[in-house]
Amino acid sequence: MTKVGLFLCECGPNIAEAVDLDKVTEVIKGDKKVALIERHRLLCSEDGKKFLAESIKKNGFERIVIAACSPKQHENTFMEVMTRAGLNPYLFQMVNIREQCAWMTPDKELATQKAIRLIRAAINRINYHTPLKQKEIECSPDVLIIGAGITGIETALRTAQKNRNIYIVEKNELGGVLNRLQSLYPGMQSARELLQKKIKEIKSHPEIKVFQKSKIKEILGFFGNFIARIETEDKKEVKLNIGSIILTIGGETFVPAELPNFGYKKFENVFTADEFENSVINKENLPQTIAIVHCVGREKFGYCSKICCANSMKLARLIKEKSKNTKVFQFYKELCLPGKEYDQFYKETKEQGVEFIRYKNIEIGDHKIDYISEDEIKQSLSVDMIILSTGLVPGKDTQYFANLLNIPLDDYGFFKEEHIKLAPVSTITEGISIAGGCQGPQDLNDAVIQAGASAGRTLSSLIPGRRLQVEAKTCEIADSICVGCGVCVRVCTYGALTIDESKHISVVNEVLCRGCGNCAAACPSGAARHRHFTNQEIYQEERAMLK
Amino acid sequence: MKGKIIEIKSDLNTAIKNIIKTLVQKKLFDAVFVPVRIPSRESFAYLLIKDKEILESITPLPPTMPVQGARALKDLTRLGKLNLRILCIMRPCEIRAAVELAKLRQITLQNLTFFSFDCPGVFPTAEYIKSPEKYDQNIIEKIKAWQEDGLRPNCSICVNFSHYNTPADLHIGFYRNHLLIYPVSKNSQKILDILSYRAEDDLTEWENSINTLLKKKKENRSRKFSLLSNQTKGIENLEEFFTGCINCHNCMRVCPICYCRQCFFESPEQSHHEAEEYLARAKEKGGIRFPPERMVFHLGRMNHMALSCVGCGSCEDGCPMDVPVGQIFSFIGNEVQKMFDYLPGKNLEEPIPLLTFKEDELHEYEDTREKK
Ligand SMILES: Cc1cc2nc3c(=O)[nH]c(=O)nc-3n(C[C@H](O)[C@H](O)[C@H](O)COP(=O)(O)OP(=O)(O)OC[C@H]3O[C@@H](n4cnc5c(N)ncnc54)[C@H](O)[C@@H]3O)c2cc1C
Ligand code: SF4
Ligand code: SF4
Ligand code: SF4
Ligand code: SF4
Ligand code: SF4
Ligand code: SF4
Repeated sequence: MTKVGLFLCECGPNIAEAVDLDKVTEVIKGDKKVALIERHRLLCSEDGKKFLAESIKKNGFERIVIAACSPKQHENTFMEVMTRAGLNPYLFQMVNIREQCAWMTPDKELATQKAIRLIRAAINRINYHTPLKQKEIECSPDVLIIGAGITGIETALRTAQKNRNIYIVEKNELGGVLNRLQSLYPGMQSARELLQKKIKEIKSHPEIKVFQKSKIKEILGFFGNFIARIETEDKKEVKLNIGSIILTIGGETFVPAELPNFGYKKFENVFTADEFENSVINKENLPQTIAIVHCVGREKFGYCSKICCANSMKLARLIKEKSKNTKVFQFYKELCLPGKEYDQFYKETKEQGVEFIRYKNIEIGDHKIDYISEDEIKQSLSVDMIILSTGLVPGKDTQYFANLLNIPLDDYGFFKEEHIKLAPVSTITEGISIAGGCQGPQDLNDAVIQAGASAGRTLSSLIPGRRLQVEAKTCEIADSICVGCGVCVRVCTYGALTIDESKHISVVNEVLCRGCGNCAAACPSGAARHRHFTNQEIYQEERAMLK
Repeated sequence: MKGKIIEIKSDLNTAIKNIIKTLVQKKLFDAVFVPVRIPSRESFAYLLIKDKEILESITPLPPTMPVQGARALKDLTRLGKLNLRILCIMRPCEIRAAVELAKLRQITLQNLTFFSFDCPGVFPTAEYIKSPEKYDQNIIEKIKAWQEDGLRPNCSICVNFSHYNTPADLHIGFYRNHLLIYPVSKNSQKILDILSYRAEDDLTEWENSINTLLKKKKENRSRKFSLLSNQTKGIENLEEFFTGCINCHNCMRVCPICYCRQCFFESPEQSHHEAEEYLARAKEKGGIRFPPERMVFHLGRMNHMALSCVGCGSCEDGCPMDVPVGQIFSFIGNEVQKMFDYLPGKNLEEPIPLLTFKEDELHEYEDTREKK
């Protein structure tokens, strides 16, 4: 019989006070499957880890069960100790008696009983574990950035370092939206100057290769080993080997042609904010009265675009700068101005004589605005020019890349982040990150923060000169049992499975597999099997738990 | 509803056979996949026929179904499309099983054309082989009278026996010594052209007769299902229900939807434990029945079948112990399919619900359970 060591961690007072560990020891001691029970005050501390390693050696344990906190917290810590002590780290099972017992069940007696069941289950399971091997593959540390707006440029600058090539591919000119802007709120600095400086920087950076007016034709492969085919400005084809990809293709401004009450394209003096800042403000002499209408399209797409309120105020200021006597009205529904600079920005804008009118409903006519005011009164205002502050929507190519790289879109059509709070710049596909306007509406600050985050993630995931460690707890497909029904392929969210048409069976890509187990659960015949959650392991665990 | 009405001059099988022969002669199809009486005369098998002579001996409407057509078709087309244009003449439940298997990549539908017909049901195979002549005669009577007694139990509660929900290209109906041709898919126009038929006859009378029958069968079915529901409440009743089962797994082997190369319940890992394990279980429960895993097999298979079971009753037909396994699978299948608003094999484009699972999908169901 293999020698199984059980370690109970007190987690300071956390576990010791809420679970009766003496009782646990007493009950489990009778179980012949455990060679020895050890106890420690804080197993994850340096002292605790040393204790664990020494005990493993001294007692000759072959498998380890640790009852402590959540595996999310310290599974890796203990696995490292095991490796150093010469054990395969997968001959290990962690039991969560803190979050699942101590912190969950106020009654000490019940918490203790629950802990005993969970520990028994782990002990019953551990003998069915097989040693797993951590695999490594060759990989490229190089990065492909798609889209050279400010986010792409910033990402390139932050990922560029020695021994790593950065390729940035832009379908138009470099710069994206910023090319069309005069200045940036809230500081009102020149957009062009900022952009020129950044463009100069990436063009002269030795580690960054810029492809302008180029097209992504194809991307094959997976994390660590992508191959991209690019058609360059002079119609040549270039093949790039890269390890990871960052999508920074931005979004677009909404064109309100389909919303008739805004009079866009119907009256020649109605423009979008984008058009106004890009060209109208330079070409024309500004008239006597200008109205800026906020929230255009918000109801249609069902979200606030974050930038329009501040941007509308920025436009008011640009107008005032150019033509001091022009009267500016802001028609808004809600004002959304979070952030530390914006109360001041709003105050200053108001002080320049800009008038704010809250509307419930609006209808734009020939040189006039009919609206229902906040207090339900029908009103009308004649104006010489109208600017529509339209929201931000997903870019045209978003769907194309979603299909190409097998990443999902959210309900609004932007790239979907892996987790909105915990992993906002990663996607479910390993090695593909997103940043900037293609992830959702955002201002420059947010875009730059995301650029930094995606750069950091990419830099730490593939390090030049190092091979890629592949998840060992993956699934496998038994060739001789699989009938190629494709059920597993369609339930795998990570795109790790494909059908080998010549053999009519499913095959798993171990680099992409994250070991979620969906396939193993869905495959009727058991051809798809999880290496660390075999039927035996689960069965033995549950049997002891329910006994 | 319009179609073509033809008077049956000889017998039904011959009338259908003549249509098939014309279509093959005029080279619309390269081969026909259809049941043929086997030489011992006691049973039927699906044959892939290219030879026009052999076409003479086909029985498109056999009185029994020893092999579910979809299961046979799977062997033919599993590994990809055939370069033959094949006409398949099958019962509605066989066609639905075939479409379900196509969704599971076990049948390739390209180049296949399906004819379905108003299915009178089939006789249990074990009964049939005892006196084939009697049942050969009886099936004609059945079609005339549409009676359920003596049929496979699943057939007498089958509500998808006609063109409704059957994804065939062309459906053949029977009504008062007439054969009706009802074009279903776009594909069927070409077939009618070749036969020089025009779908101009009024089919209302036939449709009414089908609807009357359907109503009766629906009533039968809900009566049967509520009976089954009572019979199988709780684990003890369920054990009792399967008590005659000898764990031979025939039901799995003949089921068209059980498509696995090796059934999970026959894998060494699942079906053979060390003696020690059995001893431990015996100790816990006071004793265990051998062969073991009998209920695990049925509950597990039910779990695997629930979404895709077409209710054909083949499992029960193949059971040597007369366990009403087809009826309970059909009952459970129906309950689960209702939850997902899914009818297996009705529409190739509609994915199996397991594959379209969304995290928040079952909240509705959870909530109603909580409120109770
Ligand atoms: C009218 C307007 C005014 C704004 N004003 C302000 C402001 O004053 N202050 C502020 O903080 N923020 C402002 N913003 C928001 C800010 O501009 C954005 O947050 C920021 O520019 C987003 O940059 P990005 O690089 O993510 O997207 P973009 O600038 O849109 O860049 C995306 C780039 O990707 C390229 N691309 C797209 N598809 C492909 C493809 N298939 N292959 C290759 N390349 C592709 C595009 O050509 C583009 O160059 C404003 C936005 C708008 C629309
Ligand atoms: S679900 Fe199972 S049988 Fe079907 S393709 Fe996947 S591994 Fe093979
Ligand atoms: S375990 Fe999860 S990620 Fe891995 S192949 Fe199966 S379904 Fe895909
Ligand atoms: S279940 Fe019976 S009646 Fe229904 S289609 Fe099948 S064979 Fe015919
Ligand atoms: S489980 Fe029985 S009734 Fe259902 S499809 Fe299989 S053989 Fe037919
Ligand atoms: S019972 Fe399940 S595992 Fe067995 S053959 Fe049927 S579908 Fe496959
Ligand atoms: S065919 Fe009948 S006896 Fe055999 S396993 Fe199925 S239910 Fe049991």
